[in-house]
Amino acid sequence: MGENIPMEWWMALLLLIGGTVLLMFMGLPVGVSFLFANLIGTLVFMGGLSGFKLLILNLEESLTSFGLLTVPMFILMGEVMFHSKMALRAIDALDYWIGRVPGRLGLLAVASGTIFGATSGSTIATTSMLGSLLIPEMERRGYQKTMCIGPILGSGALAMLIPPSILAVILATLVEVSVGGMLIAGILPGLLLASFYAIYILIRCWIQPEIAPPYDISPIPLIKKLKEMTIYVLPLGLIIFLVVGIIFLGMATPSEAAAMGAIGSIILSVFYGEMNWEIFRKCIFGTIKMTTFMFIIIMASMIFSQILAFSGASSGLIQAVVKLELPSLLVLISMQVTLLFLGCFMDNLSIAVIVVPIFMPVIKALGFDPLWVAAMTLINMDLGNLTPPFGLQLFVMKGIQPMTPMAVIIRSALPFVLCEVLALIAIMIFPDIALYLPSLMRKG
Amino acid sequence: MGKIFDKILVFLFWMGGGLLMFSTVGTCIDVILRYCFNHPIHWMLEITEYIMLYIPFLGAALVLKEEGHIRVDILINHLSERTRGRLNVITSFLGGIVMLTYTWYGGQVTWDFFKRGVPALESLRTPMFLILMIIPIGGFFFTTQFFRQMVDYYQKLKN
Repeated sequence: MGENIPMEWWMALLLLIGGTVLLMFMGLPVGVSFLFANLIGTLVFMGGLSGFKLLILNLEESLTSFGLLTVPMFILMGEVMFHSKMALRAIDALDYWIGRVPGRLGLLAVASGTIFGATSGSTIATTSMLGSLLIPEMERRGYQKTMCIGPILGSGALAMLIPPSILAVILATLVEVSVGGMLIAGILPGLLLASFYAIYILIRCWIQPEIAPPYDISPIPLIKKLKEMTIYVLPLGLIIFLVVGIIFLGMATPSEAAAMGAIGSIILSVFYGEMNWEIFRKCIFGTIKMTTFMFIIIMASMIFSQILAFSGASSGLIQAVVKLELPSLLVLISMQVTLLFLGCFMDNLSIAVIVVPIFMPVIKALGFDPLWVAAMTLINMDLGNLTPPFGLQLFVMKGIQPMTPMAVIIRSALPFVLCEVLALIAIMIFPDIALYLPSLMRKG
Repeated sequence: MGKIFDKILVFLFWMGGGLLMFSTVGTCIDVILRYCFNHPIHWMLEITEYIMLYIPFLGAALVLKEEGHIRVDILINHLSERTRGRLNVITSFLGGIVMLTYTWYGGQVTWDFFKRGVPALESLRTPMFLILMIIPIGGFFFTTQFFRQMVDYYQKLKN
C-alpha cells in the first residue's frame, strides 16, 4: 500500500471531484464528504496508509491560522446585530430620512441592507431581519407582493459583498489572496449593486405606481431626525470603521479588526440595553455552530486542493485548457457561467470549496488577477443564493412568508438577479471597480 | 449512558464557546496594548491559532446531533421516505468510518509526538501533542455520534 497508483489527470479529477460530489448528493455532510475524499486521495496518490499520518498534520496546519479568526468574529457580529435587534432601531432612524419617493420602502430596504450588510457578515441574518420587519409594513401600504419581497432578497445579498463578509474571508483563504484586500475589494461592487437595485426600484415604481402606492409621511422635525441618527446609526458607523477602516488603513490585521468589531457590537448592544445573558448565549451558540461546520469544510477542502494538485489533476487541467488556445476571457466567462449553473443546485460554501481549487490554478496560469476573479465569484455566489431550486435566501424568505408560493418569491427575485448579472458584467469590463480600493490600501 | 454522552457533547461545545470568547477578548486587549502601550501580548496570536483548531473538533459532535452540518439535500428530498431512511443509515455509517479513521490516525500521531516530546515551531514551544490531541478527542465523539445517528435512523426505518 506504499505505492502511488499511476493515473491520467482526468481520471484523477473524476475520481476526486466525482466521488466528493456523489457523497454530497447522497446526503453526507459536505465537510465529511471532503474528509472521505481526502482519505481516498491519500490512499491512491500519497503513499497509501502511511500518508494518513501526514494527512493529520495537514489538518492541523490548515486550521491553525490566525487569519481564520476573522470568520467566527464576523459570524458573532452578525449574531449580535440579529439577536439584539440593534439594526431595527437603525432602520427606523433611516426611515425618517427617506422622503415621498416612488418605492419608498423598497429603497429603505436597500439602504438598510447596505448598512446592515456593513455590520453583519450574514446574508441569512440580513434577509430574515429586513423581511420580518419591512414586509408587513409594505403590505400595509398596499405594495404588490413582488415589490415587497424582491428588494429584501436583493438587499440581503449585499451582506455577502460589503465587508464584513464571511464568504469573502473563506474565498480569500482558498484563493490564497490577502483577506484584507478581498474584503475591501467587495466595497465598490457592493455599492454599485445597491445603486442598481435603487435605480430599478425607482424606475419600476415610477412607471407602475400601483405596485408601490406612494403615501404621505408625517413631517418629522430635523432635530429629531438628527438625534435618532446620532443615537442609532452613527455608533453602527463606528463599528463599520472598526472593521473596514482599520483594515483599509493597515492599522491591524483583518482578524484583529474583526475581533474589535465583534467586541464593539457587544458593547454597543449593552449600551442600548438590548443584551442579556440569554441573548449572549444565543449569539455564542449560533457562532460556534456555524464556525464548526464551516471550519470542517474549510479544513477538509484545503487538504483536498493539495491532493488535487499532488494527483496531477490540477496541472493536467491547466495544460488541457492552455492547449485549447481559447481566448482567456472566454475561459473566464465559461467559469462564471459554470458557477452560476452550480449556484442553482448547491450552496455557496460547497461551490466555493469544490470549484475554487480547480479554477484558481487555471486563473493564475492565464494571468488574471485572482482578487478580481474572486470579487466576481462573490457576486456569482450571491446570485446562487437567489436562483432556484437551491437559493438559500429563497428558502429564508419562504420561512418568513410561508403563505407566499415559491413561484412568486422566485419571480420577485428575478429583476434583482438581473441587476447582479449587470454588476458582474460591469466588473468584468471594468476590473477597477473591484481592484481600485485594494490598490490604495496601506500594507499592514 | 446516552444522557451522559449528550452532556459531554454540550460541555465540549461550550468549551469551544469559552475559547472563542477568550481569543476575541484577548485579541482586542492585545491590539490595545500594542497601540497604546507598545506592549503586545506575544503569546496571544499563537494561542488563538491553536484555538481555531480546537473549536470545530469541540463542536462537531453536538452540531451533528443538532443536524447543523451543511448537507446537499436537493436529491435526497425527492426520494421516498424509505429510500431516504436507508441512505441516511448508509451515510451515517460512512461518516462514522471516515471519522474513525481520522480518530485512529490522529491518536497515533498525537501519541508519537507525546513520546518524542516534539514542540511546535513557534515562540511558545508548545508541545505538539497538546495541539494535536483535540483531533482524536473531538474525532472520538464525532465518530460515536455518527454511529448513534446510524442506529437511530435504522430503528426509525425498522418501525
